[in-house]
Amino acid sequence: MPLPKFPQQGGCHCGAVRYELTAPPLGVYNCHCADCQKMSGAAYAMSMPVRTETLVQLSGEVSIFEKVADSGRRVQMVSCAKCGTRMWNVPLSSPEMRTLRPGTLDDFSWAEPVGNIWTKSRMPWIEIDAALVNYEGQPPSREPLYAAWSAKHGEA
Amino acid sequence: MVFPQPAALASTQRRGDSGRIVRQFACAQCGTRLWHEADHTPDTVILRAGTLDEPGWARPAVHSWTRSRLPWVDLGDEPQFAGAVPSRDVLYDAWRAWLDAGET
Repeated sequence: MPLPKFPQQGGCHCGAVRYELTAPPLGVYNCHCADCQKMSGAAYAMSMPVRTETLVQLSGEVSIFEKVADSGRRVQMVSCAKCGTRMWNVPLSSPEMRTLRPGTLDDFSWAEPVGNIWTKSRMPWIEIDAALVNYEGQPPSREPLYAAWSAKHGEA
Repeated sequence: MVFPQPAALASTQRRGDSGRIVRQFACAQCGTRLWHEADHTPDTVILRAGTLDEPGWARPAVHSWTRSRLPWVDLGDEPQFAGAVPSRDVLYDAWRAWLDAGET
């Protein structure tokens, strides 16, 4: 599916927080790590890394929970203060990036994942497409995921 | 089943697509959503299976709301419903069939 015209808008469930994504993301992939399973309550979570300046909050109030990853890195998780929908992460080790949760975009039908990470902790009934860019654990670099996205959609 | 609501839980209400009121319960500290309850089914709680410490056995038995599924999501052979599951019994029967087949 081709990329839509940007900006694209999104927001939380109750509508208090609205945001705009002004340019295409660097990539989209599924994360099957235990933290993503816990925090989404689902089998895995979609992740969409974007450049910080391309994600603009338009309205509403957010609440922030900070977690420490296994690597020791601190990540802030940003949610609507009213309904609790989690919308993006701020990785404090990479302030030039935000990790958007694509399911909060008004339309994310164009955001087909190009890979999977932490497949070793995937649910046993989840089938991984071997043709995608997949990692058993944390990828040493996200560049191959970004390259797969660019190959499909052009440079971000 | 009615859970007491200790201070560590935060609850919010929302109106579902069906128009029914649903109460959602989340950790008050980190915001992780854990389960929800609906007024019209006071005897059950809908747990978010991914919050179990060992969720791998919790294989979905049916798919609901497939009319709004993403175009690139492949669904398995399980029963599919374009909207809501018509009745809970449909879901429970499908789950029981999984169990009987030793699939989980």
